[in-house]
Amino acid sequence: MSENGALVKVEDLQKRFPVTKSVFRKAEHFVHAVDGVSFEIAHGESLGLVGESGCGKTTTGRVLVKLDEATGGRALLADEQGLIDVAHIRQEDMKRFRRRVQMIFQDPYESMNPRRTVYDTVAEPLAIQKIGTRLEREEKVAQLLQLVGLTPPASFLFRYPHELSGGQRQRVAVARALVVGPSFVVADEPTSMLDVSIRISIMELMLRLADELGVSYLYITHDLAVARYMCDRIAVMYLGKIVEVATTEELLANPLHPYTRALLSAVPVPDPSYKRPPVEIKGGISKAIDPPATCRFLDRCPWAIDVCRENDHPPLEDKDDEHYVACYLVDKISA
Amino acid sequence: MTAPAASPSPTRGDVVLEVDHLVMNYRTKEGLVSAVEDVSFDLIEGDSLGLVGESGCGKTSVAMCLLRLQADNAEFHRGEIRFKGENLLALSEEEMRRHRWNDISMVFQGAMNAWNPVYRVGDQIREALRVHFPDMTVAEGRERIRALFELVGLNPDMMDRYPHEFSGGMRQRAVIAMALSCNPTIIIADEPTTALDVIVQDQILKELKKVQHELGMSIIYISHDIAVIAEVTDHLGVMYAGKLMEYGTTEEVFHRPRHPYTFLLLSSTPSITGPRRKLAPLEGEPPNLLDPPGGCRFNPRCPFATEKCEREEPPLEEIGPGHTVACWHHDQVPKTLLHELRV
Repeated sequence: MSENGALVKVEDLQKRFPVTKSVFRKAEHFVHAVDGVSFEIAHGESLGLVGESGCGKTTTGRVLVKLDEATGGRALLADEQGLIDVAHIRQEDMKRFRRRVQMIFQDPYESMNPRRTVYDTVAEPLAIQKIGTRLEREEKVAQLLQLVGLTPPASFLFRYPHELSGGQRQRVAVARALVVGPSFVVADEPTSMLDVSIRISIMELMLRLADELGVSYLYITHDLAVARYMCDRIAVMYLGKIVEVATTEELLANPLHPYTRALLSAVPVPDPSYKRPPVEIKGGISKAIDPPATCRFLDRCPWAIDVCRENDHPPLEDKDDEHYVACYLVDKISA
Repeated sequence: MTAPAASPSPTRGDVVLEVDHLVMNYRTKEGLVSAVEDVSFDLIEGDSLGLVGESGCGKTSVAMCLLRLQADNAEFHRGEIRFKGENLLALSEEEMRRHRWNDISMVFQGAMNAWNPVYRVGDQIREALRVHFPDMTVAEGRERIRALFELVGLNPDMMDRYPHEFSGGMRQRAVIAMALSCNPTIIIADEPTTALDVIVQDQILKELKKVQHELGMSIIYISHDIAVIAEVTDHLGVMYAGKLMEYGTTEEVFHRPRHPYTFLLLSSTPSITGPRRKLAPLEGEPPNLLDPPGGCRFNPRCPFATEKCEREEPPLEEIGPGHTVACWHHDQVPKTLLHELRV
């Protein structure tokens, strides 16, 4: 990936939530939800962000679409007019930004207004962006429904969410996200609420549309098998930090960070004859309230030595051919 | 209809539970919902049985029937559920209560979020114990809970804590401790790890397996997660639209699926092992059980369906030792999964 070929460039992004006992008191403690995260996504690339619940992956996604405000760092988005810094966006640039960046949410039962028809839902971004006449919008919506496989569109346009199945709702969510022609879509577990059979068809749909429309995804998921199916590269997150990034197959075949290794060995395999390696990890995930400066994974790491206890959280370093890992003991562990 | 084979494996224990041609409908305003249609299977002592299928295929309905906790509008039309030979469906409510929890207990779906937030977890388990052992003293109860907590890998001191002080995984462990509290012969685990992260899921499933071996219990796992089922079960029943479509050892069903539904389900399951490959989506949606399709219930979605499938319902037929399938065209199902063909 070349420096200027990146569509999204995230630099040292930070999001802290204050923990307050009383609204009248100044916060003294902070949850470091996203704690200095950097990555790039190329045009048309899809990056998977994986990790356990509470690791900050959803917050990262929300900051990138500006549903949450970053408390530090930068997130740059490239378009034909130059770069937009998501963290310091000007009010007059907001509309332009929203045309470029969209989000697909996890729960298709929660993310749609039950009192609005499919047409209302999908056409709303067009109306807000003042794109086309009413007639053109209707045509555009019908075209999108066709594209996401809700055919014939005429029979879906005026249905309400309760008249749709979970899979159909998620197709509407995809249509709504893509209707303004964004170049970057944050997808937060878009298939985790769906049955396996429907899951694959939504995943296939998103892959096909990425290809046809040239969309890049930040695909947030806890399911590594899904990430493998959807993503060109995978970033593993732990307590607000990215601990490893590599191309998908490289990460699965050659995990370097002890957390990635544990995560991979815990994923069940749909083959009764397959024997998984033991999961080498201690304890459970802790809360990221005022974490110490040392490696975030220290408490759970079976390999930790004095180097890890005496130094700050290790930097994310390129170990081999764009395989980045943040661990002092990489060479020792992989040996 | 052919009787289902109970894969008799002589090295294992006896059959503890027989579900025999069970038919259960829900009566609704719109009509009868055919939720469980002629389901039969056996559970062997010490064995793990998995029930898989899409949402709404009747997995949880079957489980609720086993405990006789089915919804009020449920009606049994036919069939028996025999626990060690005794038909549970013929018992009075009072007699059934003696079996519930003592012989068959359940880890309900989402139970880890059902703890009462204002009572200590230990007190809530003691409440359950008191119903079944009215003579148990407080000290005896605490001793029992202490042992249960140790069994499921929880610090016994946690019994005096409140639910909010437990993590998700710990709450689920406590739910399992509660299900174990009366030393049941059978535990039904309905999606026991669905809301948990993979690392915690791995720990919980290992713990269940360990406890199962120590106590010699049988477990019925209900899950939509095919990979989890592959790892923890010995036998497997695949359900579709209220019917059991395929039954056999987990190895056999995974390696030689003979029902088109099983075949397509396995073909659409992503994995992190093996070569990266294109998966085949399973087109269409499960039928409305108010008016299930005639003939085979899977025929509208089945790539192998013929006219016969629309007319006649296939019986559950034994096609190998302990491997039964309800399909007219099971011999046409490819020997290799779809995605493996495309590599």
